[in-house]
This record gives sequence, structure tokens and C-alpha cells, in this order.
Amino acid sequence: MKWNSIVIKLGVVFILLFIVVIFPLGFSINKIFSGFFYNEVESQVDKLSTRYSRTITDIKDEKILNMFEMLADLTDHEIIIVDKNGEIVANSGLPSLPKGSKANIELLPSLKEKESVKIEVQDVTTKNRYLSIGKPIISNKEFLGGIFVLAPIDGIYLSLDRVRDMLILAGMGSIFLAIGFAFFFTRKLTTPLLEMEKVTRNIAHGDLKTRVSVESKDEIGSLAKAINYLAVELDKYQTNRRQFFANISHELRTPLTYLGGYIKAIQQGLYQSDKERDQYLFIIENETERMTQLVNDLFELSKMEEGKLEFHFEDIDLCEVVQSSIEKTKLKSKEKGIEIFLKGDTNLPLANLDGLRTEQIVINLLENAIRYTEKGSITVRLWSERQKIKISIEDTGLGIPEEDLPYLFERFYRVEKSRSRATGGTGLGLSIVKSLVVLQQGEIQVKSEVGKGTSFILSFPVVDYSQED
Amino acid sequence: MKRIEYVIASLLVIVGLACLTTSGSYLMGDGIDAYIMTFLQLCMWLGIPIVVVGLIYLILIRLKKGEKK
Repeated sequence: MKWNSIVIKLGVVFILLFIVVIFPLGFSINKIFSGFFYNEVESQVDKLSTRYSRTITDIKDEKILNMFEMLADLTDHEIIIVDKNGEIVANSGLPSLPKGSKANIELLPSLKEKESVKIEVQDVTTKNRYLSIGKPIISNKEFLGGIFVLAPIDGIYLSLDRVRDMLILAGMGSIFLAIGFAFFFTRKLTTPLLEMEKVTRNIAHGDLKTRVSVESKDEIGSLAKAINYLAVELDKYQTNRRQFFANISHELRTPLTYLGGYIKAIQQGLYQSDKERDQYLFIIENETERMTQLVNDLFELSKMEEGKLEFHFEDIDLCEVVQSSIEKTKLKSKEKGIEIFLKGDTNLPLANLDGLRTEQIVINLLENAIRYTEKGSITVRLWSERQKIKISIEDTGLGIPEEDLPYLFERFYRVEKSRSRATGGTGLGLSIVKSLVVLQQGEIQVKSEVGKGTSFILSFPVVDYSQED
Repeated sequence: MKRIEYVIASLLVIVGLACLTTSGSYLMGDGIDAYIMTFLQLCMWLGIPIVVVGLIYLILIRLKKGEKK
């Protein structure tokens, strides 16, 4: 596993997040414990000092002072009584503050103001720490001195240290637990990503049959499907490209072979009559035209695919376009004895299209229909439906088998390959038609039945004048 | 995931649980009984969220399947 892999990065982020949470939490828990223990002791000492200060009536009475010193031994607290000058008159057992010495005189003003005093003190001799709360002794509204109750707090600090150590140990345990789970989950989460990375790399290296096996229905599953789709599309694209090159070389080689053969025959005088020579020249002319048409079609298709084909959109009447197209193909239809009928609504709404390109579409479809219809007729229908203008071109020709319909608009796709030369055409006509329709926001559909005929349905959006405003 | 990765993850979880158990049972007094009791309680607290989340996940999956039908 690499150190800069996504597993490590995600895992580190998870653990950092956990640590970011657990450190302040640990600090808070420590504060809660410390505060709780400290407050307990403080409240106990406060109660005792209040009670004792109320009990003392005379600080000069030795009996009373001795009694308080004994009381201190019983309650495990220390008691210090000072007079109004700050002189210690009673001490239950703090060696650093003997009787007769002066206590901290800074505290006296507060005591005189009848306020309680809280301080943390350390005995210089024993090094023991105490929490001390002092209360004023007042008798007959006269300030006599103060009583300090001192509770040892070394034990509390010791307990708190132990609790803190245990909290640190628990924190470390939680971090180990987090690392374990983070490692497991990040590995589980990133395994599909790593698989996709591997598959994508394989696709980039040309292995287009490889697929991602992730089947989850979340975003990762969706990404896996997208990668698989990409592989399928790339595979299809590459197959199409190979087919295209094979087709184009075939389409060019065949007429070139004809041309070469017939030119050689004419050059070497391999014909028996002038009529035969004219026939050869006719074939050469036909093949040259065919090749020119093929090159023109290819050029047009490539321009469309690159988006370089210019359209001059304007509001046009499709009925006029269809009528003009019928006029232009009439000659060819008459030659084959096929009649073209125009049916439907002539009062159609306008469509925003390129007139010349739309005419090219209709002419292409009509010529196709004439080419594959031996007898019968061609019917062109026009109507509008749900803000769309529809044109259908139906013939009574050979029809197309159902299995060929999905590939009909592909380049060089021919239903009957053996008849392709006899019927003419470059195999690019329908592909050009589809591109021209799609580039003008239109749709094209095909329906066909073998032996009955084929119907192409074009659909273009009606001009929406409300949006133009 | 490889076997070694499962082992590493499991070891980390076990070490983590051991630390938590030690810290939990330290102030409760000595003895293996306190340690085991704390360990079991810890496992229970660890298992509760996993079981709850697992149950919610199963319920959600069942509800989704019901919607599809």
C-alpha cells in the first residue's frame, strides 16, 4: 500500500477527526471531575466554617479554643482561629502557623466586612496542601476575629491524577479502536474506487472488453456504470472506426478497379465496336460520378461531425419545402413509373429551420424511396401534432427487415449488400439525413415491413413566438 | 481486503478494547472478575450502535424493496 494512497488519506482524515473530537472531550471530562471533587470539598468546608463561626462566642476562652482543636482532630480538618488583629489564637496542627504568630493580614479586611475568604494554602513544613475557608466571628455585632477551616486536598489531587491517567488510557484505547475501524471501513470504501482506477487504466491501454464489477446503487455504483458505459461506447466507436476504414477502402477500391480496367481496355483497344467503347466510357463516367458523390458525402459528414456545417435558420413553411422537393425528384420517379402523392394539412405552422438543408433531407429520403421502390407509389404526408410538424415519406418498396432497422442510419450500412451497386447510392445518405435532422433539433423515425414498404417520419418543433417575446 | 489487513484491523480493535477495559476496571479494584465484567459491558456498548444501525439499514432495504414491488 502506498503512503499517498486514498486508503491512508481517508484513514488519517477519519482518525484526525476523531482526535479533534476526543481531545476537547477529554479536557472537558477532566474539568468536570476536578470541579466535582473540588466543589464537594469546598461545600463541606464552607458548611463547617459557617457552623463553627456561629458557635464561637468568645475567642479568649481557652476551653472553647481547645474544644475546637479537638473537633478538628475528629473531623480530619484543621482549624485556625485568629483574633481581630490577625494573631493566631488556636491551631489544630499546622506546624508552620504556631499560636501567637501573625496570620495573613491581607485577609482580615474581608473578614471584617463579614465576607468569607477562600484560599488554597500549603504548609511550609509538611508541604501538605489545604483548601481553607475563613469566616468572621461576630458576637453582639462586634468583630472578634476569624475561623479558618482547612481541608487537605492532596488526596483529591492524587485521585484526580489517577482519573486523568485512566482517561488518557481510555483515550488511547479509543484511538486504537478508531484506527482499527477506520482502516477496515476506508479499505471497504476505497476497494471499488481502486478497482475502477485499474479498469480505467486498462481501458486507456486499449483493453475495451474489461468491465467494473461494482453493483451498488449509490454514487460509486453510478460511477462504475458510467465507466462500463464508456468502455462499451469506446469499443463501439473503435469498431465503427475500423469498419469505416474498411468500408471506405472497399467503396473506393471497387470503382477504382473498374476505372483502371476499362481505361486499360480502351488504351489497348480491347473492344470490338465503337458501341462497346462508348459503353466502357459510360461506365467510367458513372463510376467517376459515384466517387465524386462519395467524396462529397464524406466531406459533408465530417463537417457535420466537427460542427463546422453552417445553418441559416429562418421561419419556413415545410409544405413549400416538401412541394419543391417533390418537383425536383419528379423526373426520377417518372423514369421508374412511380407516382408521388402529397397529402395532409397545407396550412401548417412555421418551423425555424435551414430551408436548403431541410430540402436536402426530404430529397434524400424521396430519392431513397424511388431507388428501392419497383412499383407502386410514394406518399408524403404533412401534419402538426403537439407543437411539432411531422412529415412522413411512405413507399411501397421492398421494405427493411426488423433486425436491420437499428443500424439503418449508420455509415455505409446496407440492407442488401449485393444490390448496393445496382441501386446506386454511397451508403451515406441516411447517415447525412439523420445528422441534418438532429442538428436542427428534429427527430427521425423509421417503420418498415418487408414486402409492404418503408415509412420515414420526420418531426420538427413549431416556432414558439411566445418565447421570442 | 487481504487476510493480513483483517488481522491488523482486528488487532487494533482488540488493543483498543483492552486499553478501555483497563481504564474502566482500574478504579473498581483488582481481580480478573472486574476486568471481564468491564470488558463484557464495553463490548455491549460497542455492539449496541452496530446492532441499531444494522437494524435500521435492514429496515430501509426492506422498505425500498416493498416500494419497488
